Amino acid sequence: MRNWRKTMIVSCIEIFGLLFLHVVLIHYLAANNVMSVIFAAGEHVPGTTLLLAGFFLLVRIMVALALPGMILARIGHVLFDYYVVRRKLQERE
Amino acid sequence: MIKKSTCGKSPVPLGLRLRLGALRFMVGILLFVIGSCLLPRFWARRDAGKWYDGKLELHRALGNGVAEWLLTDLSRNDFTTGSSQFNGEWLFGTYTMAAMGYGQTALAHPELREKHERLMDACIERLLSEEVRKFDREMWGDDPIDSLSKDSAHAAYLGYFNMVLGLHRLVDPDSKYADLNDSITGALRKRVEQSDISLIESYPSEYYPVDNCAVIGSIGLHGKASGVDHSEFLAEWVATCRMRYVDKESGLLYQCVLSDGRPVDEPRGSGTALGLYFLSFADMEFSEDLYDATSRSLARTIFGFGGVREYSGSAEPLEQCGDIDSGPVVCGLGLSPTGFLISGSRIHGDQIYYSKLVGTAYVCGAPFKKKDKFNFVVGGPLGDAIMFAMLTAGTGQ
Repeated sequence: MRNWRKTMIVSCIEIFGLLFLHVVLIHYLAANNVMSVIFAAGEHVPGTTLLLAGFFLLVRIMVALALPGMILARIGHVLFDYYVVRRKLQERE
Repeated sequence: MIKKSTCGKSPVPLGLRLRLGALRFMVGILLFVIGSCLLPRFWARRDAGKWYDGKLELHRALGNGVAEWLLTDLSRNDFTTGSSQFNGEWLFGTYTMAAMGYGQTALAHPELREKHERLMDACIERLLSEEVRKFDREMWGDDPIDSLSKDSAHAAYLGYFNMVLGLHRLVDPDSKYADLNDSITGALRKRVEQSDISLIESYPSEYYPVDNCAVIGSIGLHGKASGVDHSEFLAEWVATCRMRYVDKESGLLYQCVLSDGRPVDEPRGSGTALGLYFLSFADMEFSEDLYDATSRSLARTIFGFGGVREYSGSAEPLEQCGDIDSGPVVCGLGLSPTGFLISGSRIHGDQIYYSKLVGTAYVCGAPFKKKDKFNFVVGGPLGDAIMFAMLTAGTGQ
């Protein structure tokens, strides 16, 4: 059985870390017009700019598409650990 | 084999532990799939209804966001296409689309009329500046405005610019640009009438039906704003276009044709989606037919998000990577056709697909609202201006 408290703490760190990273990046990129390079990327665009744009897209996709599923799955895990496994073990005791 | 449980009170058989582990894993996967497939679409479409209804606060906020770009006094150096010519086109496109957005929102909201008309004026002054006209002058060897009485067609500059002037005249019937609008419309109509193929060149020996849709849309707008009757000319042009420049199979516009009118490129999503927006100002029925064809041949829905293909399926894989017209193409779905079709779905009352496209724009464009200002972080000046024109399309027709 996994410790449901540990699962919850790790999940919160992951989720809030990802959200924090997204917020920091979106503020920075909004102020510096970095992202529009992806419309016409090529050899003329500095590698670091492209890398930053690509990294933001990755974080954005994670936050916008995967995070809701991730949160739901983690909630499911915590509830599972707390109720199902605990009950099974209690029955055995 | 028996192991001790983690609570240390009683041993738990390995079989039970494995079964519970597998069950836990399956619950996680199931909830992840449900969460990722169902929730993002609702979150991403949160403002779609408001955009569709033309809510004042959103139009004002995006107008303010675009105005911020205009205040930075943009130049070619602000764009990074790698080609000075394309940078010039993007600079021109930014002011054109921004002006269309301001015109549409000025017509939709009396509260915004004064401010947005002023911003439209600022865009027109920039469009008339030497710096913005330069990209077209470099291609033709003469100036698009100074050569109105000559033969060079200048569809790329004049068609789009004349759209803005026509819309400005709808916003302000006493527009100070009315004479210029009359002159450009007269020159464009004469050039189209004199053309053997009913199309005029964007650049020397380069014929693009989509740019000609802007030419025709601008003539339609001129008719609405000035009262001049262009209906016979427009009906004749639309009949020719349907016959020669619309692909019989897909119903889409060809992207590029030769000087004898033969297509040299595939019928494509970016040209058709933008073309039907311009044509809605001249012939709503033709615009709707092009919208239906695009919906049928290219529009897709993936997990509740809208995406529009650049090609209808017959193109070579290499072409499907995208170019300056389509923007990046991922899995066949093009950035430009997806963005441009937002306008068509609103103009032709397709609220369901409009919502799906707005959902995609929100996920990929990363909207950022700060105080009374709204921007798409991924967009930059051109992206914001295009989204402004497309999201607010549907007034002025």
